[in-house]
Amino acid sequence: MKTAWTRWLTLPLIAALTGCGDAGVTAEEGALPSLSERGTFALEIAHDDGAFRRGSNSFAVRATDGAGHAGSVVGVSARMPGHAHGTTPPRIDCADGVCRVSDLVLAMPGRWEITLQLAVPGEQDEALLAPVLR
Amino acid sequence: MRSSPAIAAALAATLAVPAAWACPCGGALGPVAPWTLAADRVAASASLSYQGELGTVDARGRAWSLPPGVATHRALLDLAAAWRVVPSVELAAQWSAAYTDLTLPGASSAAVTAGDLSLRGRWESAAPLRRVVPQVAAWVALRLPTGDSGSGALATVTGLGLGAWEPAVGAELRWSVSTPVTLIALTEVGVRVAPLGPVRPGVRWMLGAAVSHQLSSRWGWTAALTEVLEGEATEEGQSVAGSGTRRTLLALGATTQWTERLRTMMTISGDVPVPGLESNITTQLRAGVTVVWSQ
Repeated sequence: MKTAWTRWLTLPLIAALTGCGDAGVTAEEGALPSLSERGTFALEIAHDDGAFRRGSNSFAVRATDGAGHAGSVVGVSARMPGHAHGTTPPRIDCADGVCRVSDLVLAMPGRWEITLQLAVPGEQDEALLAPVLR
Repeated sequence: MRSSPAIAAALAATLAVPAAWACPCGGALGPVAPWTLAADRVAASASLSYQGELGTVDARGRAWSLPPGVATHRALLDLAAAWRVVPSVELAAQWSAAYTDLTLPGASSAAVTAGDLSLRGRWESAAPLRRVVPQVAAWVALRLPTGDSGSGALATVTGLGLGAWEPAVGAELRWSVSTPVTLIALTEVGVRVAPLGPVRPGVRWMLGAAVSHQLSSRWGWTAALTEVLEGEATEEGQSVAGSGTRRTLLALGATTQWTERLRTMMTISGDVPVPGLESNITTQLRAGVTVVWSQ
C-alpha cells in the first residue's frame, strides 16, 4: 500500500520534470565571441563536445592578432555571476598556434562567465565566454 | 423556532476550540515550524533524509531533464534542539550535515560536508478561544555561515553552507477550523549579508500554506505548499541579471505520536511540475524521517 502510494506521488512528478526538455547544453547567442574584448585578437573556439556542458569541459582556442601572429592563452578563470564562487583553474597547453584548455569543471546549471587571458609579445587582451548550462 | 440566545449559545459552542492536540506539521513545513508543543519544555530532533536531483529549470522557466552522466544524490542529517523558555517563547538551534555523491561528465565527487548553524527565537500567542481567530506566531532567526560553502570546482555543489550571514524574520497564522483540521499561513524574509567578496546574494522571501489533519490521537498528516523567491544578487552595487530564483515545493508529511514524549514524522517533498512556476533552480525530490523527543 505504501509502495503504491509513493509511486503514485513520485512518478508523475518525475515524468513531468524529465519530459519537458532535451537533455544537454546550450550556449546563448554571443556566448562564444569572435573577437577579444578590445579587438586585439580574432578568435576561433572549438569545444571538444560541441558545446559547454555540466562537468569537465575541454576546448581549443586559436587567437590571431592583426599582424597574423598567434596569441597564447595565458590564463583561464570561470565564475557564476550571482553566486560567490568560481572553479578550479584548468590545464592550458599551447602549441602550433592553438591553445587547448582542458578539464574546466563547470559544476552547476546556470550562466557562467569564462574569461580567457590572451597575449602576444607586447600585447594583452581578454575574451569573455558566457555559456548557459542546463 | 429557536430563540436568539439559543442560537448564540449553539454558535459559541461550534466556534469554541476543543482540547488542544499536537499539530503534526513540523516535517512538512520544514525548519520554520516549532519543535516544542505548548506543554513541552524542551525538544530534540534528528532527521535523516535522501535528496535526489531530477532536472533543472532555467531562468525563463523552462524545465529540462538532467544531461547524460549528471547525477546528484545526497543523504542529509538535520539536528535540532529547542527550549521553550516560557509557554509563549521557543528558542531553537538547528544544524545539518550531508553526504553528497556528485557525478558529472568527466568529474565526480563524494564528500561529507557540514551545514550552517541556525538560531531562532519564536513567539506565539495563546491558543484563541474561537475558531475564527487565528493563533499568531512571529520569529527572528539568524543563519551563521559556519558550513562548507567552499571553493574549488565541485565544492559549491557538495557544500551545504550559504556562505553568508542571513538574519530573517517571519510570521505565521494558524486557524483551528475544526476539531481535527488546522490551516496555516506563514511568511519569512531573509536578508543575506555576504561576509567576504563583492557578491551579495539576493533577499529570500518564503510564503507558505498548509493544512494539517489529525486522524486520531496518534496519527496525523500535513500537506504544505511553499514558494521561495530569491532576488537577484548584487555585485559591487549592481544587480546581476538572471541570478534570481523561484521555487515551488509541495510537501506531504505523516506524524505518529508513539508515546507522550516521542513522535516521528515521515516527509516527502518535491518541486511542483507546472511549467513557468519555477525559475533558475535544480529540481529535487526529498524523502526522510524525523524523530522528535520532547518533554
